[in-house]
Amino acid sequence: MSKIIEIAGLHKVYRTGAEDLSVLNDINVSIAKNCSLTITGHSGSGKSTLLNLISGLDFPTAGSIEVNGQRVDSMNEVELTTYRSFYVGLIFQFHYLLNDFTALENVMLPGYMSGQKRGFAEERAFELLKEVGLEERLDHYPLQMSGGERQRVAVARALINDPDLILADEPTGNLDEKNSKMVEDILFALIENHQKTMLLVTHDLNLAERGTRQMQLEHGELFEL
Amino acid sequence: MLATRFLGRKGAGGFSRHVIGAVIGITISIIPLVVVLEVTNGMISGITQRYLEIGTYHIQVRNPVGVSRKDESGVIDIINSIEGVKTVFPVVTGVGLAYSGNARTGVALKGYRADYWKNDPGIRKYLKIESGAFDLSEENYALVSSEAAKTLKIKIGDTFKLLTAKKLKNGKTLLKPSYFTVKGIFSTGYYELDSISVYINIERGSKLFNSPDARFLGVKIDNPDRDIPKISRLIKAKLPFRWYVFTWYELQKPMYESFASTKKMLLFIMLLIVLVASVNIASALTMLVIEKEMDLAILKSTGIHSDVIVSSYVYSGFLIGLSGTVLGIIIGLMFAVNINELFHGIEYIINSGRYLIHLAAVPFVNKPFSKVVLLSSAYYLDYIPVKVRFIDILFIGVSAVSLSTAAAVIPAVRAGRLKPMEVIRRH
Repeated sequence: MSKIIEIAGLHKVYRTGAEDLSVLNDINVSIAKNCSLTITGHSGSGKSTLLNLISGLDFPTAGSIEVNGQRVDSMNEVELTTYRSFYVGLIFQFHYLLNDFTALENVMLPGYMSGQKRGFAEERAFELLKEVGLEERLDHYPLQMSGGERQRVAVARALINDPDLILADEPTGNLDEKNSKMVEDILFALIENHQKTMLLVTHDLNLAERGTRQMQLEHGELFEL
Repeated sequence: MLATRFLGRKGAGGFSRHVIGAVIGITISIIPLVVVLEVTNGMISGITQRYLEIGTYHIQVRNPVGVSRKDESGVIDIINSIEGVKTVFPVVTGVGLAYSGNARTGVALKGYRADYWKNDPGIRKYLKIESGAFDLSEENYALVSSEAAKTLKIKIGDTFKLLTAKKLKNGKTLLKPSYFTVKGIFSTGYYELDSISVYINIERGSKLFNSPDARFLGVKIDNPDRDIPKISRLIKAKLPFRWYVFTWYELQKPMYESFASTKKMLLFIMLLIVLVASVNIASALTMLVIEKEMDLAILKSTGIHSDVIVSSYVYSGFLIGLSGTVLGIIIGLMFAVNINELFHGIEYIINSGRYLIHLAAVPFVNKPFSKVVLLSSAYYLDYIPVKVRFIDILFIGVSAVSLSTAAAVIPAVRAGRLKPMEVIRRH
């Protein structure tokens, strides 16, 4: 099976004053296409840092990250923008929706702003919101929606540009049990329906078990479970 | 799409107070700019028109050695035959000292034909006969400006003495007293023309001032805005030797240039106010960038290009500038076209207040109540003419919107440079 992510010798060290804090230590991993990899680990183990490095929001201290054969760690600003726009979809622990935009606009915006025709972006956003069960809430603003609904909008937004890779950072971490379950179900169903690769980090072991492949990050090192 | 939403209040609908403040700032800075510029245009035009019609006329034709009445009449016929010439008339000018009782003042005399008033619509438009009539049918008749009449304390039917200096053939100067009866009191509405003007009969004027350069021909044409250079050239070409042609612009060049430079200076100063207001836009957008940095970070993390964010913020600055400018121009024009009513309203309020204070002070102060007059020919014009020039409005609009857009560049670049990871970590 072909690989979508190839990480080799990845190190991330944060310099805090005189001290160096090593968060990731020689990470080596290959992730196959259409796999849903879940990574568990306690708080501060470097799960989010790993996702930030793969998404190009942060840069490694050493090592390489290849996504779809492209070196993410050496991309310039323009290349990173294109990469984040078309190759990865990000879902954060907090929904981070834009409060001045409706649910439909929040979803369509990354598509429209990266070159999709407005009508096409709207149509696609509508379809995605329908898939996450929010077709009745298109014109609602985030402040008019529940936490679970907002996170479902964030899930739909991550898919607007049809990226190959979804990076989810504790996507249910802020939700109650009922909403967590609903978002989990929707997320895994979408990944399967749209044939996406997902890298999900969580400390919820039940959620982690739903991944087709499971790993654990401990003391900056990654172990297969 | 992004630009208009960037101007909104975070999740609360409506516009951010920083944006409203910036729009108001631009509006407030544009209002005086429009009012000052349009009132300046009107005043310059009002003064220029008065000078053209009453002061210098459109064109003056002079012969420095003097000519006989017959030759002068021939020249008048030649000029009258030129297409576009409305009227040609002889004028005599000189100065004298007017006396009435204990009052005296220096006066600038102009001698006109008795039918001048009938033949020149220009003077009928700008010269207001406040009392009496434009009657110069007799050699001892005179018209006195309201300011001179006030100084001399004379009214219709009164007689005043005029002392003029006449140069004798032997080179000596003879002071000559003459007596005139006031037949009319006039006002041009412009102090400089009103203050010391006295009009007399031209034949009497020619006797009082016999030097060749005291008498000349005034020419009025149909379209002074367009045809003065062309017609002055035609007159020059048709007239015999030793006749000289001067346009009003040549005669009043310093005044005309002073108006033009004053207008430019006013415009420059007013644009500085717009510049200060556009700094408001920069600070409003900087505040918006700070307020919305998380939104911007998310947009960038979803792959939205920095250029889109930069151009959206620059467009926001353009929208703020455009809104403020349009509002400012509308309100400014409303003020400008009603400036006279506004002044009268202010006069009324001031005088009402002063009258109440006067009533309260009557038992203690024995002083008659005097009205404050804001619009008087003593302050240039007694009526502010407003002339709205589209080109000026366009210039104000384009300048203000350009400055506003330029002011948005720095916060826009700052928004574009936000590092999403740093912002997400901070929040």
